[in-house]
Amino acid sequence: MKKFSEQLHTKSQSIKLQTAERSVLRERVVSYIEYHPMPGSQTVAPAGSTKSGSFFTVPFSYITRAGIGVAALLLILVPALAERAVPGDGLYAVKVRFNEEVRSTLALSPYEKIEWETERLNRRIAEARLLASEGRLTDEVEAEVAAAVKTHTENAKREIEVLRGEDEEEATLATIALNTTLEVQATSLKEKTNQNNAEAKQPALLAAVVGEAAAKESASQAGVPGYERLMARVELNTTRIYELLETLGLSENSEDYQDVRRRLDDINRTVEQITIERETNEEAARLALVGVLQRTQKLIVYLTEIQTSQTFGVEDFVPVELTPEEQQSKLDVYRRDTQIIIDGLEKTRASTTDQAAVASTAGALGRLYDLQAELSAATSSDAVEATFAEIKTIGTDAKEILSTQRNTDAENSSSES
Amino acid sequence: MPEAPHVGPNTESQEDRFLQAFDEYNDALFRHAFLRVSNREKAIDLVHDAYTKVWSYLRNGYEIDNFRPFLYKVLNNLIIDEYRKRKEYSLDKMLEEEGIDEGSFDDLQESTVEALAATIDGRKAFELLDELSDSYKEVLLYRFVDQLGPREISELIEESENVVSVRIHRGLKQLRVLIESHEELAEAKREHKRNEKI
Repeated sequence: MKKFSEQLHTKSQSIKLQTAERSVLRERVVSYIEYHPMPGSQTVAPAGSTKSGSFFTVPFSYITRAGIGVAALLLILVPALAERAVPGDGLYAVKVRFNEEVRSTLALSPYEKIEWETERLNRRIAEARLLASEGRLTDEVEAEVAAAVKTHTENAKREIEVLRGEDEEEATLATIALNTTLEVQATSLKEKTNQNNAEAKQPALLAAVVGEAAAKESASQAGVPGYERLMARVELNTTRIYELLETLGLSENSEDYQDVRRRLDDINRTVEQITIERETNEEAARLALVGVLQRTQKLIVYLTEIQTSQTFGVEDFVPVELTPEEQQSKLDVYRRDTQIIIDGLEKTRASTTDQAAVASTAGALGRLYDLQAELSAATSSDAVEATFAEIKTIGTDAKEILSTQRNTDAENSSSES
Repeated sequence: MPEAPHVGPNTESQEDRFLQAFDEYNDALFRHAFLRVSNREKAIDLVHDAYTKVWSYLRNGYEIDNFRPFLYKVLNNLIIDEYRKRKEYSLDKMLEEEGIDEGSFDDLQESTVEALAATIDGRKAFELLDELSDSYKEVLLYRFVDQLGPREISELIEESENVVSVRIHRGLKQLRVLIESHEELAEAKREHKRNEKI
């Protein structure tokens, strides 16, 4: 009994509210009790407190309380509401000129300043993208956003130069972060502009400005920082990703959450491999770590983006990295499909009467057998993908030749009859 | 349990005690609700409603000495309301459950609850809780997850202690049958695979 009871109880303890869920629930309950206070808690003014001869008086405590309320409204509520504002909204100026400027003063180190300028840049682009997706992006707003992006990029570059004088490696890390962000945003904006959407204005000007900045910056990247510095920055970035995930309050079952978790697992796996690789080849390990750093930066951009507009696909920028088991199972599927394609082709050729069609597909069949062997021997993921893509193309072409011939045969026989 | 209403409750301590009860029991109540309704969002809403109902009760001038059983009671009523709202909880099923012959404590003579529980793997049982009818699942959750005694459970579900004990016993029996049939099915599958390989 004790064992059963303990087992069941222990197992059930895994079910609990997530921190974010708990705080939201608490907030809901607390606001309920605030809106439904105890009847006795309403303060009643003591009798005789009103001075005779005056029409009405406002007790000093009320004025103080009202003053505190207004101050709280101005200092807490308005900035909090402004955080969600986009260009054109009444509170947008509060967001950009108050909230963000206050936060700028809190960034003390040059690296923090660059990080913050990069985030501001991300925010502007995300806002523009949100407006574009809602069909609210006007030429004026786009020009404003493009100017802001330029300013933030310039600011970040200026800070990088300051940093370079003090700490060359830190400056290189900051450059990697800025370049990655610009690259992600440039690609995303370019894709968005290329989409054929006649209903809404696409941010073409912004795409051009960001694209230009990205091209300029990628040319300026130089050197690879030390292994320890890179590893420390990767750790800081992953911590930031976890924090952003927490702030977003995504449900563990949501697609966005699962997508990010999967990428974090991939990153952890790659870092483990790099740690092993470092023992034999430090240079290669450092280069690989730069790649990991870029991936973490892209995830940060992605999470900043979904805070605002959710018009961004993580797979385009940080594709899933398959585990060895997943690679094996994918290879198994490809092998099976290849066999199906070959069997199908053999069968169709056997049932086709037209010798010309059979002869013209003989070469394709031979090539398929060769590719089948190549697929089994392929060592890299890219080679597997390329080989299977060729198998599919050849299989489809050969099938088409045979089916065209079949249709011609069928037409001939029906016209003869 | 609640006491008769009285005028002018000590509001500050009521609010503090209420929020303390929130901090203390939110996880346990959520766990219970989630295991009963199998829906995370719904379970959170039910816990929220339980707390707001209890607060309304306090506002009406009542005092609550012990929040835990009271919260469980309100939550249980809300869960029952939720079941009634669900279409899939058919009338037939409700009638079937209402018609259950609860038997008597004598049923427990041949094999006691303790002896029966000792033969069951708690981890496997946990996975199969959803396959039990709610009347059994309810008492088993109260007993083994929330760790309430038969007396507390009987007050919560407004049945005699005897009925509670019989339900626990029968629920455990059903769980054991379910575990056995799942194991047999898994074994049959393994056998089938072995044969296929040969």
